[in-house]
Order: sequence, then structure tokens, then C-alpha cells
Amino acid sequence: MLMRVAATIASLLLAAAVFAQPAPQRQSIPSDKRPPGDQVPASFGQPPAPQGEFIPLDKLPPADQLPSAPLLVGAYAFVWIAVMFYLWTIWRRLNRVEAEMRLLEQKSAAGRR
Amino acid sequence: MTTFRRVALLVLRKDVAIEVKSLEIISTTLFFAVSCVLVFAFALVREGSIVADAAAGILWIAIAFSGTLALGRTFERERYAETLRALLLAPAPRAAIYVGKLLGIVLLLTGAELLLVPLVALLFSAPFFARPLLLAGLLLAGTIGFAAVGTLFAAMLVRSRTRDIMLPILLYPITVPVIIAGVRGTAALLADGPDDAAAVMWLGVLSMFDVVFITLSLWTFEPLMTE
Amino acid sequence: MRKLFAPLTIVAAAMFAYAPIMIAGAPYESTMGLVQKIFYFHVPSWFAMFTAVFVCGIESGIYLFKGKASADRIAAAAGEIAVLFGCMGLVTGPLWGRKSWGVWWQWDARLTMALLVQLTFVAYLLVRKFGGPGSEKLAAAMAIFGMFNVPFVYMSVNIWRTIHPPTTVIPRLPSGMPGPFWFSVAAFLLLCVLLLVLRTELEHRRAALDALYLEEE
Repeated sequence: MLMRVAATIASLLLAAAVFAQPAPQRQSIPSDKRPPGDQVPASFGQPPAPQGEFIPLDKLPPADQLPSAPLLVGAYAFVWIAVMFYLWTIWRRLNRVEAEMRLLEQKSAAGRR
Repeated sequence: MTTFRRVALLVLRKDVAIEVKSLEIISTTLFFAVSCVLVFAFALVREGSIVADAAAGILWIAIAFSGTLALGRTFERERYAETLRALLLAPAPRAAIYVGKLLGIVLLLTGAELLLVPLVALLFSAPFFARPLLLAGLLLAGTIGFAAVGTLFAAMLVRSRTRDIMLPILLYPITVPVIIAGVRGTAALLADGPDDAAAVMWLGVLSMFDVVFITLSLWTFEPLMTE
Repeated sequence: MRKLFAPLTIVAAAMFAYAPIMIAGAPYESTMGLVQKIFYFHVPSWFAMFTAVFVCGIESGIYLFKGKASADRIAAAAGEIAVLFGCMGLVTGPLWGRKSWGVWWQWDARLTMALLVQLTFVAYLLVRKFGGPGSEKLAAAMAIFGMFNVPFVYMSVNIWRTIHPPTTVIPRLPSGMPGPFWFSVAAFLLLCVLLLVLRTELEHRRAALDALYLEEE
């Protein structure tokens, strides 16, 4: 009982601590204080404006373009993994059925003797 | 009158007679539909006014959800009194039994819609009555399509233990074309300049769906209901 | 027939091993670049899925109207395989769409309807598993209805013009692409058939086991 009360109070305190944190400030170093050679474009810190409509890939600015390779590799990898996984589940189920069949045959053979 | 028509109308009359006596299913279905509309209204309100086009969606969702419940309740009644087996044992064409039950469900849902449409129109200031005939056509075609598939599945599920959850699981994927066509058609009618051509196109899609799936249901009802 | 299974498996494996080579050799598509190569697995996945859907639907029809238990077993296998290939299509599609459309998912007609067919067959599997006695017939009806929904899926893009590439893209592929594409289609269909045979075998064994249990009693 005491443990339950203690646990409840502890979790409430923890929740209060988490929610009481102020929102994290966005780090912004004023440009004159940055070391030279470390200039970043002004739009770096802000998320790009959301796309309102379909823009063909060659018209998008290079900064907005996603690298294709991970997506391509991910797609092909998923297909192969899915097939392998399915084959494994079939193999597992087949084994289970075979084991049961053998068990049943043993029992009936024993019963007949 | 041919046997088919006679049997179908008899089944319909039986259902109507039972329902009129107690008004149990219609009143509970109606109330559920109204609460559905309210829940969605609260969910979709932004700064005191409803999201555009939501009225059409809310209407059709309410019809779908309350239709599912009504189907379940109607066949629960059959199961409880074991009348479904009696019906199937009767020397009547099975397809006629299906049609009779279908007409009953369509009547029930139409009754609910008669109240729902003015309610949604009122709550969301949606000009539902700008094109009453087209709207009625859409609602009727959609209700028939939904009920056609729903009656078959609900009848099949009567003997299943998990019937309550299985009906929505089976029904919604098949009837989503009805919902899409219904909502898009209704939304076209509610737009600032009602888009009659689009609404007629969606009405055509719904009619096609109805024809295909009623045919399918009539065809499969017999083998499905035999043990 | 059974003797063909092992050599065909080797052929399928070889095709899948060779396919990426063919695909790498295919020309780049002008607007989409490298990511368009997902097309060579994405579209064949859907071909395979719809093949499985039709097999399931037809066998379910045979089971329902003729009562052949073997048809029910094939339908059960085809249902699972339809869900498998559907999953592949639904994963490769968004991976492609993220790059070429900028979003993971669009509520356009073709995607929505494809998702629906997938949901229908997931529901099919759920009914088979949890439907209780008589669930084979229920599932059979579900498969038939799902199969008849497919033309609505196919037509949806043409009626309701959307962002998804239309169905006429395939007959007009630029040169260099049809080769790897149809090779991939053949590979996927072969895989579909092989998996179907394997899975049906599992169902046959299960049925034999059930028969043995019944004999016991």
C-alpha cells in the first residue's frame, strides 16, 4: 500500500517536472560572433515553406531534394526481406504440422500394438 | 404476384410490423446517428466554425455507422428468436428472403436519413436543399449499396461468435467506394455553385456499384446460408 | 508437376538476382531520376497482388458454389499472398512518392482503392482466423466481393484524374525500360505462383492432419 502511494506521488512529481520545463530556446548565434569560414545560408535554421502543390523534381531547389539512394535501397530491401520472412513463416508452420503428424502416427501405432 | 415478390414483400411486412410495434431499432439508430453527428462536429470545429466540406462527410459517416449498428441489431433480433433458420427452412426462394430483408434495412436507414439530413443542414448551415432531387438520388443509391452488402454480411455473421466486431471489419473496406462516391457527390452539391455534372457522375458510380453488388449478393446468398 | 517446383525456385532466385543488373542498365527517367527505379519492383508487386486476388476470388467462388474443399485451401493461400504483395506495394509506393511527390501518402483514387483492396484481404485473413465455425464461407464471400471491387480500383484513376501516373504509362514506356520491367513482372509472377504452391501445400498438410485427428476419434 505504502509502495503504491509512493510510486504514485513519484510519478506525479516526475510528470510535473517534465511539463514545467520552459520550451527550449532556439540557439541562434548572431552572425558577427561566428568564426570566419563558418558562414551558413540564412535559411538554414528555418524549415522550408511547405509545398502547396506538385512541383516536378528538376524545378525544386537542390536543398529541398531528398537523396534517392536510401529510398531505393530501402524499397528493394523491404521486398526481399518480406519474401524471406514469409518463407520462414511457411517453413515454421510446415514443421509444426509435420511434428504433430509424427506424434499422431506414433500414438496410433502405439495404440494398435 | 410471383412467389419471389410475394415472399420478399412478406418478409418486409413482417419486419415493418415488428418494428412499428416497438420502434426500438429506429429510435436507437436515430439517436446514435445524432450523437455521431455531434461528436464529429465537435472534433472538426475550428475557431467556432466547421471545416469546409465537412457537412457531407459527417452525414455519410453517420449513415455508415448507424447503418452498421442497425444491421447488427436487426439480425440479432432474428438470431434471438431463431427466426432466420425458420425463414431458411421455409419453401421460399432464398434470394427473396434476402431482398425482403434488404428492403427493410433500406426503409429503416431512409427513415433515419429523413431526420439526419435536415439536422446536418441546420447544424452546419449546409445548403442541402439546393438540389433536393439529386441529393435524394445520391442518398438512396448510397443507402441501397451499403445495405446490399451489409445485409448479406450481417446474415452470414449471425452464427458467428465474433459477429459484433466482424461486421464493421468486413463491411467498411467493401463499402468505402459507396462512401467516397456519396461524400464527393454530396460535397459537389454543397459547393458554392452546385456542380451538377460531378454529382451526376458520382450518382452513376453509385448506381453501378449497386447493380454489381446486388447481383453478387443475390447470387451468393443461397450458398452462403446453407450449412 | 511437383518435380518442377525445385528448378522453378532456382529460376526465380536467379531472376531476382539478375533483375537489379537489368534495372541498373535501364535508362533514367527524365523527371524523377534514380528513385524512379523503384517502379521496377513496385508495379510488378501490384501485378502479383492482383493475380493473387483473382486466384483467391475465383477459388472462393468455386468453393462456395461447387463445395470443393481443395478450392478453399488454394483460396486461403492466395489470400495470404495477396496481403504479402500488397504490403510490398504499399511500402515501395510511399518510398517512391516521398521523393517524387514530396509526401508519403496522398488520398488520391488509385492509392485509396489499392489500400482498400489490401484492407479487404486483411479482413479476409482475420475472418478465417477469428470467424468461428463456418468462417470459410464467410471469407469466401469476402474474397469474391473484394475481387469485384478491383475494377472499381482500376477505373478510379481514369474517372478521377489524379497525381498518380495513369494506367497508360506502361504501354508507352521509353525504350530501354520495357525489358527490365517485363522481366521483373515475370520474376514477380513466378514468385507469386511458387509461394502459392508452397502455401497451398501447407494447407493440404493441415487438412490431412485434421483428417487424421478425426480418424483417431
